[in-house]
Amino acid sequence: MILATTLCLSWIVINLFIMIPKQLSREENLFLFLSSSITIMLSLLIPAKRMYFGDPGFNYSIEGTVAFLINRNIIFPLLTLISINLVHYKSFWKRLLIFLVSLCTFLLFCRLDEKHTIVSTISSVKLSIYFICYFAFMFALSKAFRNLGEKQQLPDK
Amino acid sequence: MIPKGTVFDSNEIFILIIGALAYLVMFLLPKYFSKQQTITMLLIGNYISTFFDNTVCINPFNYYNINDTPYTDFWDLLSCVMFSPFGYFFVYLYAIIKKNRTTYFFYISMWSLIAVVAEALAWRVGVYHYKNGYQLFFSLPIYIIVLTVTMIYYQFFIQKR
Repeated sequence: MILATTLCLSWIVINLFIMIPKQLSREENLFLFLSSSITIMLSLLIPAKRMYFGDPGFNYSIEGTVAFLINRNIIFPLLTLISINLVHYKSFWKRLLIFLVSLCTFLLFCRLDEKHTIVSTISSVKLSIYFICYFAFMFALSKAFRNLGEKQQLPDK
Repeated sequence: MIPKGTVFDSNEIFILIIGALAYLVMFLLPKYFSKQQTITMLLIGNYISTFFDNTVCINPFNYYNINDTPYTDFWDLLSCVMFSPFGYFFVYLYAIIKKNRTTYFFYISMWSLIAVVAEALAWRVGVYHYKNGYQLFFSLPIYIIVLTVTMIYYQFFIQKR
């Protein structure tokens, strides 16, 4: 059941990503996807430690593990890509709205499927702070990567 | 700097020497790609390593431990960083050699074998500790898939440009 739900959700998120107007280039999207996935994997290691240690009485089925991996490696990074692509709009209010919707989506997703996203229970405040920092980090990375490309293009011209 | 439960011995020395050498060679090689492409290639190497360490190493698979501790520690993160330049070398060499229609097949096969030999060396010095019946040659299909994905990156993001 959980694997079927996760697969359907990943299909929706992939198609949502295909449909949205892209503000980032292909290279920037790939870079952000990889960075986001690595950040999620490493930063959420501690709450998921029960899974990594093989805590007795906390057994995952293969379906559960695959759902957990899809969440961390496909759904979260793609949701991040969608948010960062949309947040590059110039209007402040549009940016704020997209940021708030993204934050709510992340929080809701972690609350609804806690076992296969963050594994252990984390308070909503801590989770909100984590996602604000995560989102700011991803946005800064995308800006830095874009600046790197623009700087290199200038001497060429 | 050394985490609890870790002894500084052959596996840590291996990670430091191979990592330093790989980055040194990378910086000494003539520049062929843009900075964005170079960073992306390093990230691909890092991503692949982190992905498999966070997939094959956890329950219910739990096929191997990395370094001295069963959990992710500083040396595990460093070993992921150590792998990064190898994705770069893979794309770099393929970009500069003369190619025909079959080159990619032999190139991926050759690199997969090199990767298995390198993993054997890493296992020998204690970077990997196989468990639950996992054997070295099980990694071969993983390397073939991973290198093919990296080749797809080259075809779509570098050659087409």
